Amino acid sequence: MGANPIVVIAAIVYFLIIIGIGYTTRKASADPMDYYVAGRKIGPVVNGAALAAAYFSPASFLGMPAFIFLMGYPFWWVLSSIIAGLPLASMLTAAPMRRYAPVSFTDYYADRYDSPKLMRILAGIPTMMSGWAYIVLSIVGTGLFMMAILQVSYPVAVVLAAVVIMFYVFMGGMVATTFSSAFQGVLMTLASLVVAFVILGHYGGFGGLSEAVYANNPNFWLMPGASATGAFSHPIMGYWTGIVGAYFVWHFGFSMMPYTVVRFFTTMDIKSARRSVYWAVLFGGPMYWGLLVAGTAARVTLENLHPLMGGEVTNAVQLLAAIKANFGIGGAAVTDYSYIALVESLGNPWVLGILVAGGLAISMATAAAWVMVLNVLIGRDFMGKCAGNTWAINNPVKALRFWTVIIMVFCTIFAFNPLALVLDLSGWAFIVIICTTGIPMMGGLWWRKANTTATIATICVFFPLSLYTWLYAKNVLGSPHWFFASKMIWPDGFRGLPALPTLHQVWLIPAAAIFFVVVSLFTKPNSDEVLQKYCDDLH
Amino acid sequence: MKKRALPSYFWLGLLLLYGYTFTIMILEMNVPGMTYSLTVGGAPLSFFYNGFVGVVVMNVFLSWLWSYMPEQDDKKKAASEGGVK
Repeated sequence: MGANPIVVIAAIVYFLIIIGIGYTTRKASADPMDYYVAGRKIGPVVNGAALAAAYFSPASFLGMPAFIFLMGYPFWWVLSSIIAGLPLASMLTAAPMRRYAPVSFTDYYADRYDSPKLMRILAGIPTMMSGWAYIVLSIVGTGLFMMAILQVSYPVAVVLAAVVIMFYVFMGGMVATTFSSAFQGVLMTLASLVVAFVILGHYGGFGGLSEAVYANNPNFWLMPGASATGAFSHPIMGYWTGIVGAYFVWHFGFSMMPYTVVRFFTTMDIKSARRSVYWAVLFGGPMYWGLLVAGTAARVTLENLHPLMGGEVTNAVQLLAAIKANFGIGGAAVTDYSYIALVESLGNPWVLGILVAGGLAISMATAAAWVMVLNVLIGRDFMGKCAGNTWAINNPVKALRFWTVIIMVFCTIFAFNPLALVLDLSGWAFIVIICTTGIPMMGGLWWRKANTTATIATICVFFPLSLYTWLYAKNVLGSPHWFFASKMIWPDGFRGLPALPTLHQVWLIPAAAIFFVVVSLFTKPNSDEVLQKYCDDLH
Repeated sequence: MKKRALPSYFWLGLLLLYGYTFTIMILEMNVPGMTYSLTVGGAPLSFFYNGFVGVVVMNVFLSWLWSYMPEQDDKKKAASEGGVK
């Protein structure tokens, strides 16, 4: 297959707009507050679209249809849970964090837990690890879409993607990131909806699609326990813990993840912060509905329509493996290309063009949002606030630009030949943030007894514990989606399954919350002055 | 008077969200074929209650509720503070 001119033109127009936004927002470098938090002048619609684009990474655009492809109907509930996590942020973090109005993600930990240097470092470590995994994942996602557009090799696609992201973040900081993300948010929603309606049109509606899916794989529709014969859609969905765990893995992320929380700092007021969540749902909800339709149709469409099917390639998984081998995508999962391959199967270059633009949009928005979190974290917090580096203090924008380049180069090196582990770690990257920095943030905002000792203990215990249990499950049980202690408790497997399903070791979230509460109850609270200022007054 | 941290409409919204989700999940796990065989107009009802209500409608409503109601609270608070002055 050669590059289609319509698809190439769609991509060029997209890149010109993004580069244009970067260039026209370059004046943000004149004022550090513009560069850090877009001058706190952003309205709810723009911020809502930007929030949606930043939060929904390639893990959504590539991963959600791929997971439905693999796990069937039960995974629909995960899409529901992720969107349901957005409204929670409206009251839990958006309003109080905007009232507090910090500059960096770690400012709240430094102030609420009354330890300016230690807290910045402790909160910064999991944030850096998570950011690294997400940026690599996003560059890989952008590279995959570039590959689909230009039919170029994967390394060339990665370099092009990284240069464009670096350009607009470097030029306009948070201003460029906000406006480009808002544009990208509109684009990704449009792309997902267009693809969904084309699929529904192809199958003659929901009824036709569901019948085709059932004919292809009747187990697709099975919820855990719903089959009298014990059949399931996928082993991880073989017991209710799989679906309930999957529901909660990503559910709380929007309220607690650094790259979404910092977007609340940019709004013009508290009302705009709350309303921006409403707009994020209006953009994200329909996009996820489109992904749900696409994921449902993926396997049956690939197996019946994709031009590379036939000969030795007899099913969708073999087809995706063949595509992966042709383009040399390193450790990316074969299913990561399923959404693009699905649209290739439909044979409509206009639809592929808009999908590619939407895919580039979602990938680049996430990478840019994380780069902004990390460049402020390292350039301002670590260098300026912790190390007292006078160059970083006196040249805040230069420091952030310097770290933008370093972060992008570092992450691009990993993206060239992505180790499966790096991409896999994006699942852990989500859990680790919630159970280390997320719970102390929520606790600090809403509970007076939340204190410094509990925060230090929670981060110090759950950062290594979450990584260890996740890696143990992956290496010993074959997947991080099995409960890490399964083999010790059930040597012969769990109720016919190899182990107890707990997606991405999701049990760590309630375990960390309980740990944080218990330690807080038995240790010294923070001073009344701190509690008044950084807890009570923020409600 | 002790300050209440989160208002009742926040907890009612949570009850609606999790009540709806887990009631349907439990039904789906115990009624064989519910996700595919229960249809309306030839399409599985799951496209409506999960794909449409669960993914879009419920969350648009909750995000509206949790931005509109606090704004009304803020207005009442501002009005009462103005009255005191």
